[in-house]
Amino acid sequence: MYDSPMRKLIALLSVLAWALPTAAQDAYPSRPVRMVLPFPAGGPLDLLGRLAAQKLSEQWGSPVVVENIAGGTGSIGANAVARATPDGYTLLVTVDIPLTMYAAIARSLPYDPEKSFKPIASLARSDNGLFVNAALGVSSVAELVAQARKAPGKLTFSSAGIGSPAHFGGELFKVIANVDMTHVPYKGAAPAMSAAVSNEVSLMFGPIAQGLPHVKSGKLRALGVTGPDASPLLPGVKPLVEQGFPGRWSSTPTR
Amino acid sequence: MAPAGTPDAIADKVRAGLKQAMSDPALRERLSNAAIDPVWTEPAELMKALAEDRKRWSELAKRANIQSPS
Repeated sequence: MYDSPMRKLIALLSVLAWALPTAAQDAYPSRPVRMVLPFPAGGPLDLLGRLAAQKLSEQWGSPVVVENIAGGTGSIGANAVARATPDGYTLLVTVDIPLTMYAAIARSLPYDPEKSFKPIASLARSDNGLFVNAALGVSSVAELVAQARKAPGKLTFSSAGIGSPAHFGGELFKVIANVDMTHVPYKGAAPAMSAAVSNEVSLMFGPIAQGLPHVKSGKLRALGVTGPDASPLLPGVKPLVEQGFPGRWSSTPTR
Repeated sequence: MAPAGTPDAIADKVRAGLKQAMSDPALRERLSNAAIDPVWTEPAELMKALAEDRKRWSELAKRANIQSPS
């Protein structure tokens, strides 16, 4: 039977349309992929992002380039990805904050934490420790609670700023342990931890890796961890949930 | 995360690449030493957890009067 050229063309086009997704996947990546980290270089997220980017570059034989776009509690970098062309050449690796805590308090968010992103996976989790200054003289969460109840509002906790994870952590502790403590915001995680180390504040819910050296030097005591399991870096320090303080202490992981 | 609208085939390829990367023993050790626990979570479960966290942090923010400084 005679096939018109047009018919052939239509047949060919439909084959191409079906073949395109596979071809796109095979060809990807054909140029450098940008991996946005919405926080400054140097922290735990930066380590994770850089290691993952290096492994992807090796696997694909094509560069995956890390770009730190910090500011606005992660919302500036997250927004840059939300606005990028959705072609796989811009990826976001972030902790949950710009999609959870910050989204919960932001007056206006430039992206929709639910609809602006396509989830790839969650790669890891990173939990906090409850660190108290050694001079406080408490060696368990129960003793800390007893001391807090004796003088409501007298104990203080530091954080990297209003709405930061340590702020939420301290407020959550107040609710779950039914105590009153006073929040003291600092400008960043490092000064917040220094304040706990120098006894400017009584305690802090801080990253385990950050508090660990001060526990070793004896300036801080680790009373508990926010994760579901003990941390191998703090042997013998039990999760808060195992010390009579039920609840979901930690967010879901670094993503 | 990728921008919404990223083709499934490409997201799948990135996911497979990351899964392989995260199974590397040397990488896992470096993360563990930095108190990062390499636990893998698939996208559906991740989105569910994020939605739950948003809800519970919103509730806590209201209760504790945590307001964004900017």
